[in-house]
Amino acid sequence: MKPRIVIGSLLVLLSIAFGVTAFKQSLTPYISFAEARRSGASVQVNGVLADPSKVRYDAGRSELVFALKDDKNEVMDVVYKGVKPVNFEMATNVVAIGNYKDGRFAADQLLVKCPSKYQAEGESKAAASGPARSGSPASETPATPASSGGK
Amino acid sequence: MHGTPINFGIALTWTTLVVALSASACALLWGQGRSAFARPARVLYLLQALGLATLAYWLAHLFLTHDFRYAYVANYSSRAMEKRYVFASFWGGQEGTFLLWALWSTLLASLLFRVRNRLAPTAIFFANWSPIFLLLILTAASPFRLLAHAAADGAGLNPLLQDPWMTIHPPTLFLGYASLILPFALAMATLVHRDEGAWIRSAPPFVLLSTVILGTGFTMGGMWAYKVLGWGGFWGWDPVENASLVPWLFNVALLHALLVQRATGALGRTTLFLALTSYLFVLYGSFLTRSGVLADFSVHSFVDLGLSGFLLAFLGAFAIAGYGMWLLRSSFFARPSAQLAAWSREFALWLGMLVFSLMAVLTMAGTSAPLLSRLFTGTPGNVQTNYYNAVNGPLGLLVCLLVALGPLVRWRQEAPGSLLRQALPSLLVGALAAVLAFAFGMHSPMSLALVFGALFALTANVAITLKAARRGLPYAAGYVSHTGLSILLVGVLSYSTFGRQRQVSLPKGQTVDALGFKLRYDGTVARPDGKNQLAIAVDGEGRKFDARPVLYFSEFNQGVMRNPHVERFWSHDVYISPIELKTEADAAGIVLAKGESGTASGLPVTFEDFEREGTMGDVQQGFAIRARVKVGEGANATIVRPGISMKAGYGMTKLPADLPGGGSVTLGNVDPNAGTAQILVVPPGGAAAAPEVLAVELSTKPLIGLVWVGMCTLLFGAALGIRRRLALRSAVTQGAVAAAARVAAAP
Repeated sequence: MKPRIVIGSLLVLLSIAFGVTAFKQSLTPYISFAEARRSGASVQVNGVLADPSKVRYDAGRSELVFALKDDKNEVMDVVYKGVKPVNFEMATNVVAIGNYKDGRFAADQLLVKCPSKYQAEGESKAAASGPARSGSPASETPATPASSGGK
Repeated sequence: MHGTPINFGIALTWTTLVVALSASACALLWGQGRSAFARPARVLYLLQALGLATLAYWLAHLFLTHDFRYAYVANYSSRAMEKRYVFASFWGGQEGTFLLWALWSTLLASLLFRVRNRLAPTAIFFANWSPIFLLLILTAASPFRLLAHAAADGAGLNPLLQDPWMTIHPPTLFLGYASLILPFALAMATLVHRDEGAWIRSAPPFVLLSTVILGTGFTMGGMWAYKVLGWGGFWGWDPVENASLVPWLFNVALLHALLVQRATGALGRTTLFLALTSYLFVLYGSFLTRSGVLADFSVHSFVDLGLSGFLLAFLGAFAIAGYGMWLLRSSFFARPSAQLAAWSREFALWLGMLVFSLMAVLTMAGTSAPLLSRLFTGTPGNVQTNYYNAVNGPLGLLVCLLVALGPLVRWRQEAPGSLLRQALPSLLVGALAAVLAFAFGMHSPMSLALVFGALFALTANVAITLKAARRGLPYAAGYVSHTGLSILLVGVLSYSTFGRQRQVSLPKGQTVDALGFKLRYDGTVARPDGKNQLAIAVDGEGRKFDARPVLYFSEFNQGVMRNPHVERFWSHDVYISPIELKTEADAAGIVLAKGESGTASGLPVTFEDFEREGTMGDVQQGFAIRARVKVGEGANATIVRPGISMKAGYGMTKLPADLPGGGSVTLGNVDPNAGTAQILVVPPGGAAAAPEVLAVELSTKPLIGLVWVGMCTLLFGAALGIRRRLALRSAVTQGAVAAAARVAAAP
């Protein structure tokens, strides 16, 4: 066989296998809290603040502790190392990306949806669509302690 | 758009569309050998270019004269904006970018008239499909649509886009996208006329042109992201970024395959396939990022203009025509006998082509994750950025090794020969660098391997560049690019591994130590544009400087915007990005329904009812919603009315109510359907005790300058390549002669 075919197909197959594995590992759709507890791997959960008045933030250690409630009304404690996102108590929806360990969910990243505008029924303001990029979406504040490195 | 009166812009759009169709028809007939149609094709094409230029001029004119009768002008600009940003509003929305894209394609495709072979007219015919489709889209989503009533002022442009880079980055990027139609059209014409020699002669300068323009476009985007967005990097693997990278990777793959085809006559089918694919991925990327299918998964906002159908038809037509033609006619270009010798330069180039294509495919797979996962698992999900780093890391290492061996391998070399001995010095430099990086604390095996690869490649290519440049710099074009790539990689690895970062809270007036710097927050400085600067005095690494990051609430984005301060040192940047500014004590909140009571911050609170001011939903006049709240009990009870007001141009404003004896009550989240309100209470005495605290992220970016230096060097090398190709264009190479001979010999 020609070396080109051998090396080429080897490279393609390896890339596909590696790509599919990395894809599956990195694909993190929202899962229920029960599943998050079982899995322990990096997952994405989505819920509302169980009780906004019980959000605890330690500014000195930059640690945020709160409880989220998912759509099955299950509650889970979440700890996030980083500065508390703005208007966190008013969040209508919190997405936490991280993994469950030692009895609580350790979030590496939080996405907070805030009720940033009072929207009357039937009225909606078209958001911008940049040609290339237009910054943050209407009302989502990403907060990440470790800025994504690399190219 | 029924009900929209026909105006100059809309009429001219239709006229230009008709002219473009006629120009294409003439070019097609001309390409079929009827030279009588050459002149009409030229004239109609010129008219088409004039039509599009006039449309663009007209739209710019409407912006600069603040003609708010036009919906597009009113949606993307306002009177208060600086003039250059009013002009940049041209590409603030989708409609304007389609117009820009159509204009650029037409102007670029006019370069095809300069191609002196039989491919030219047919290539012009195919290239003109792009402006025709874009003009069709413009008839459906016109930037010249009139409002029912002229607006007094416009909504303004996203403040993130009001940056000097944004006046040149989008047009450059669209020029890059548009330029990829040239290789596509030439490939189609080649398939029609079966003229491999003409393809090999005319394609390379156009392919290199796309490499340079598109590369420049997304490099500018990276600089903008680093300087404006404040998340600390320049490349976030966002769908919009990937949509520009993937066609570029295919373009680079094509470039390397063309070198093999020119020298050996092999890879004829591959080069045509890659030329078609790179433009198809421009269209696929546009579909992904503009149709709204990824709206939930991107940090960029995309509005569905209802164009998904058009965009899909655009993509579908090009894909079916392109790949259909390739399947039917490319077998003519197959060279089953062509062997690439195992240790030869052509083999290395072929491998490079394969690796770039794989990078492109895997990156596009990640970008399409929401679609793919919905297809296979039923629930849409998205991949994290670590996916892209994971898949591109090993392939990047392969690129490094190929780039390092590139100068050493010879055409048609069969055996490794003295390859290893020649590579030894640069191999040693690479190994030494990896050892040093390990000693400095780099422990990830992938990063260490990449450091080795990058330095191996850098040493080998700097040496060969110096040698080749003695004959004239254009001779070293490829090596200059490869040197640039290695430098770029060193920068990326250095800043992502050795960068340090810390989030710090800075109470006003207090000096805080972090990462060897002393930081003191001194308060805010008002800027005329309403974006408040934060004054931070910094002292460290032998320099005292005033950092002026910006933190403001954007009405437009309804979110907090953070522009970082970048302090450049010779070897690294210090990057200070604001996170939040807290000016009041932590308010404890409680959600209450009408009539409910509860306790917040230790005070009994009763939410009595909503009170409305103005007409609900009338943002032009403004309206407010207030909550009547009783704080305290019995004789000490106070009634307060915190509220939220909405007014066009001002957005949402909180109207807190003061409590006697200090403290305040703020209305938080309001749910009009459930009739609940969130009430936040700062107890008396609580406010006074709270100092102003600024939270920032402080980080260092060692050697990040190499990223820009490397990318510019890479693009400079590609530009040198264009010069060399143009000089060589008339020279018929050995390979092409050989190929032509085989063509002639074929039955």
